[in-house]
Amino acid sequence: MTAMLAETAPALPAAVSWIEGALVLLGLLSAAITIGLGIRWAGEARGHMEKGALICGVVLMVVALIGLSLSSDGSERVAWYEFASGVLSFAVVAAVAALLAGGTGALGRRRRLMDGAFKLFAVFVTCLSVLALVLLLTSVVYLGWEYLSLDLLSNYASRTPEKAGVKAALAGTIWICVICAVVAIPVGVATAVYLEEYARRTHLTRIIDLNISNLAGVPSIVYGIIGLTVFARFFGLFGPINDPAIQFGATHYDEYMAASGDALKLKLPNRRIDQRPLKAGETLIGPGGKSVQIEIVPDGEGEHVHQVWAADAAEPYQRSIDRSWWYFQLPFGGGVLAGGMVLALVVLPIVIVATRESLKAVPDSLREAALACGSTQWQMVRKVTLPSAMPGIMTGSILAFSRAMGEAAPLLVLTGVLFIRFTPEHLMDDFTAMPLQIYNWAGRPQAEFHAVAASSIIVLLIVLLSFNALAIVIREWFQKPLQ
Amino acid sequence: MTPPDPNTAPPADLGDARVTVAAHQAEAEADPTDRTLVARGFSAWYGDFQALHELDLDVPRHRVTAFIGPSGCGKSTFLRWMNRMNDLVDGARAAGTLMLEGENVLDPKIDVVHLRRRVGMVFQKPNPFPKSIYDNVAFGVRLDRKCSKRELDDVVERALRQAALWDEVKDRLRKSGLGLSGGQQQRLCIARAVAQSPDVLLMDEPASALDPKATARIEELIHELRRDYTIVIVTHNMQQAARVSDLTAFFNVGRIVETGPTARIFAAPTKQETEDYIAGRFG
Repeated sequence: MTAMLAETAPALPAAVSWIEGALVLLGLLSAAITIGLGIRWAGEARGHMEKGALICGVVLMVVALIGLSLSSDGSERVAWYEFASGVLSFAVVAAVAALLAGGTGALGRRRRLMDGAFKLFAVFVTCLSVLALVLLLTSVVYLGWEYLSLDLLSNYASRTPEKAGVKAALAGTIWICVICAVVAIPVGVATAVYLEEYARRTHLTRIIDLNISNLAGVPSIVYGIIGLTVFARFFGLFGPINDPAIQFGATHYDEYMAASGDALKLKLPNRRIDQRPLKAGETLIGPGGKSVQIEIVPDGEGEHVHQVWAADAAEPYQRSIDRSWWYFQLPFGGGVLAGGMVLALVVLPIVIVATRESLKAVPDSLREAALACGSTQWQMVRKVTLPSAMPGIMTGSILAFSRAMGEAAPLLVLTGVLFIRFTPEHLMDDFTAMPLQIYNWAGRPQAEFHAVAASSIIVLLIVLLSFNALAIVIREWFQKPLQ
Repeated sequence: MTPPDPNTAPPADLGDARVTVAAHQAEAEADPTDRTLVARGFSAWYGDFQALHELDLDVPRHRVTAFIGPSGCGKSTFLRWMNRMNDLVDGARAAGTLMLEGENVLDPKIDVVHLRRRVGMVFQKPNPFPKSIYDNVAFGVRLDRKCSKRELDDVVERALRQAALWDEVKDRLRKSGLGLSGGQQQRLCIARAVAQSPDVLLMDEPASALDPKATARIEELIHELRRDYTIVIVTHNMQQAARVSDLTAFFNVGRIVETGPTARIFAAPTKQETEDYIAGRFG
C-alpha cells in the first residue's frame, strides 16, 4: 500500500485550483473503484476479500481528501498532464496489485492474469470516460450556479452580466430547431424510404449511398458556407440580401421625426399616413436635421386619408420597413429559415442513415405479407414498413436534433455573432442561438460573463434533455402498439 | 358420403382424413374441367438459370393441390409466380401462360395489386403484422375500400371463424397478433388471406415452422377451407400432402414429373422417380 500511495505523490502538489483538485479526487476515486473491483474479482476467485477492497477504497479517499485540504492555497499551478500521469500510474499500480492479489485460480496463471488485466482495463477506461463527463458537468454547474435564475430566461443580452439573459438565444434556438426538424425529418425519411424501398441497386444508388455516408462526416462549418451561398444569398440570383428581388409581407415607409419626438411614417409608394393623424403645419425634421413643414390635403377617397408633402425636402429622413409575421423574401438572408435549413443540412445524413438502418431491420417477411395482401408499394410502406421502423427513425431523429441544437459553427458562418434584443417574429428575422450566445460570452474578458455562459450551458442542457425526453416519450408511444 | 373409388382410395395409414379426402376426390372427378388455374408451357428463370421447364398443370376449383418434390425443384418458384411475388426478385422472369379464371397472370398489363387481392398467400413462417389481431385481419380489406365498422367487424369475424381462430381470440381482438402462439399466428395469417375472399389460396409450406399439434390444426383447417377456396400448397412433408390434398404434382429439377389424384400418386406412382422420392430414396 505504501508503495502505491507513493506513486500518487506527484499528483498532489502544493497548489491546485479547485477544479484540478476535483480531477485528482475523482481520479483517486476511480482508481479506488478499480482496485476495489480488482480485489473483489480476486475475492471471487480465492475467498472473501471485499472487506479488503472496502478498506482500500476508504484509505484512498481519506488520503485524497487530506491531499486536497493541504493543497488548498499557494500560487504554483500544476499542468494537467502531471495529474493525468499521476492518476494513470496510480491506477496501473493498483491494477497490478489487484492482479497479484488475485493470483492463480483454476485456470492457468497467465490466462488468469490476462483475463483480469483486461477486465480491470475496461473498468478503468469506463471510469475515465464517466469521470470526464462528471467533471465537465460539475464544473459547469459550479460556475453557472450563480447566474442561474428565471431572469436569465426572460432577459435579453446585456452589457452588464447581472442583466444578461438568453431570451433571444433560446427563442432563436427553438425557432431554428423546429425549422430544422420540419425540413430534415420529412426529407431524410423520404430519401431513406426511396433508397431502401424503391430504388434498385444500381451504380447510381451505390454512389448516392457512399456520398450520404461521406456527408455525415463533413465538418459542419462547410455546411455553413453552403448555407450562406445557397440559402442566405441564393447565389446572388435575386439581388442582395438587403434589397431582395422577391418580397412578400413587407410595408415600406418614409419616416420623418416629428418635433414632438414621435416618428411619422408615410407608407410607400403613395406616402399615405397610416400611423397617426397629423396636424397640418406640424414641423418635421428632415435630412441633415433640417426642419420641414408638412401640408395635408384630402385625396377624396375618405376623410381620414391625407396626402402629405414636405415643404422643402423631397427626401425622407429615413426609409424604414415593417415586416409582418408572414414576411418572406427570396434570398433568405441570415434569418431563422436559413439557419434552420443549414442545420437541416448538417443533420440530414444522420436522419437518412438512421432511417435506412431501421428500415433494413424490418423483416422482408412483413413486406411480402403486405404485398401478398394486395398492397401497393406505397400502402406497404405507409402501413407496415414505416410504422415498424418508427422507433428507430425516432431515435435517429432525436440524435440528429441534439446535434442540431448544439451546433455553433455553421450558424457562425451564416450570421456571425449578433447582439440581438428581440425574439424572431418571422422566418427571415435575424436571430442568435444558444451556442452562439455561449460562444460570445465565453470569449469576453470579464469572468462574470464566463459564469453567465456556464449558466446558459445549463439552460441549453436542460432544454436539450427535455426535448430528448419528449422525443423518447413519443417514441415509446409509437412503439407500444408494436409489442 | 360417396363410397371411395378403389382407384383413388388413400393408403390405409391416412387416419381420419381418409373419409373426407375420398369424398372430395369423388366430387373432383364429377367435373374435371372446372379449373381455377391452368398452366401451359410455363417456364421461369432467375437471371440465366432456368428454374422451371415447360410446365403444364391444371388446378381444379375448390380442391387442394399439393406440390411435392426435393428442395430446389422449383415448386415454390411456381407458387410465387401465381401471385407474381417473384416480381420482387431481380432478374426473375417467366414465359408461357398461366391462366387464372381465363386471365393470363403473366400478362405485363395485368394489375398485379388486384391479382394479389384475388390470390391470397400464406407463408412458411407465420408473419403477422405488428398490429392488433383485428387490424391484421382487416388489413387487406381496408386497403381497397373504406367500409363501415360493422361491415369490417363482420369480415373479421367471418375470416377468423374460417381460420378456426375466432373462439380463441374473440375476447382479445385488440391485442397484438404477435402475442399469439406460432400455430395461432399462422391461422391468423390464413384469416388475413381469406378475409379478402380470394379465388385461390397459396400456401408455401404453411406448417413447416410449427409443432405437430399446430400442424394438425392447420391441416384440419385446410380441409375446411377447400369448401370455399381453391388451394395450392407446397409441402416438404409427404404425409402432409397425402393427408390434405386431392391432387398432387411431383416436381423434380424444374419439371413436373407426375400429377394425379393424391391417392394414386402415393399408392401407385407411374414414374420410377416419383416412387423413389415417395419411398424416401432421394430428396
